[in-house]
Amino acid sequence: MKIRLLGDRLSLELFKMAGISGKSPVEPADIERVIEEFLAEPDVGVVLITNSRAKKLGTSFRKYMERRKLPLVLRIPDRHESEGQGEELREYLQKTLGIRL
Amino acid sequence: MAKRPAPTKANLFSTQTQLKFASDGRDLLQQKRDVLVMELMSVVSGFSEVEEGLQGSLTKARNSFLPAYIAMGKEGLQRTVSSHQPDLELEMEQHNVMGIALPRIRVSVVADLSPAGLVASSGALDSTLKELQNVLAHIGEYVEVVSTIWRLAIEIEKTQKRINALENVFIPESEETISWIKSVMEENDREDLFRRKLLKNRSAS
Repeated sequence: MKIRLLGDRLSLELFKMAGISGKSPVEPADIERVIEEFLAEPDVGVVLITNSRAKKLGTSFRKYMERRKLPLVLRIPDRHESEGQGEELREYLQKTLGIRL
Repeated sequence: MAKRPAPTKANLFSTQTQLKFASDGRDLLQQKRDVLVMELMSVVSGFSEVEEGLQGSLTKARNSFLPAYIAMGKEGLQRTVSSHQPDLELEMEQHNVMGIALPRIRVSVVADLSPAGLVASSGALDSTLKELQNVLAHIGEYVEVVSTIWRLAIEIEKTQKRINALENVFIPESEETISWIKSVMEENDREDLFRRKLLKNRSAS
């Protein structure tokens, strides 16, 4: 299975050397379209999104996280936002279960 | 507000069975929640470490990549790197915990990432490639841990909601209905008895 990346150009170039290809849309609508595109591709196991791009989607990114099927969608840290998925995860655990990480 | 069905024996029995079913269900759900919480706790403890691992290696890779990128330019980079396209092998399987599919991921790179070639390779690029190997090692783990925690947490929340609904709404309401039916039936019995006694006295006199 493959990994796809959605992020800034520099990350894209970096990950390309590791065999991870991707795209770099900027507008929220484009970002969503590209995610859907990746999800529809066969043989994609993980879709990574750099945090700044994911933040542009705001709360509507949540629906991708809550999918129960493959591919998995999640954020990774990028140059400006060193937090990956952790921030959201901590907040959620704290709010719903009272667990502090 | 509890339901008020016709106070008959049949309704009493059916409500009692419902109550039994509901409290069995609640017990099962509580067990499920406990198992999930235990599972979650075992994963959660390692999360910070995994996160730091990814953040650290990613930052290092980015930091050494930037000068390489600036020095070589997009085209130069492509020329150097395109000679070897690494194959990224991602093995994914899912295992089940209480009916929730949790992913297990292994990332392996088939081709070696390091030195692309003697021509036009730079120190910065070499260390970037080395770091990138680290990033790949961490990323599989990161994806696995994050999605496991996420899925477990969502499922625990859902289970807890169901438990609450049973415990605070359905079960008390059923109990109320049962006690109401019982009291009405007893009341009817007493009235019936009184009526019979009255009739008996009248026919005797």
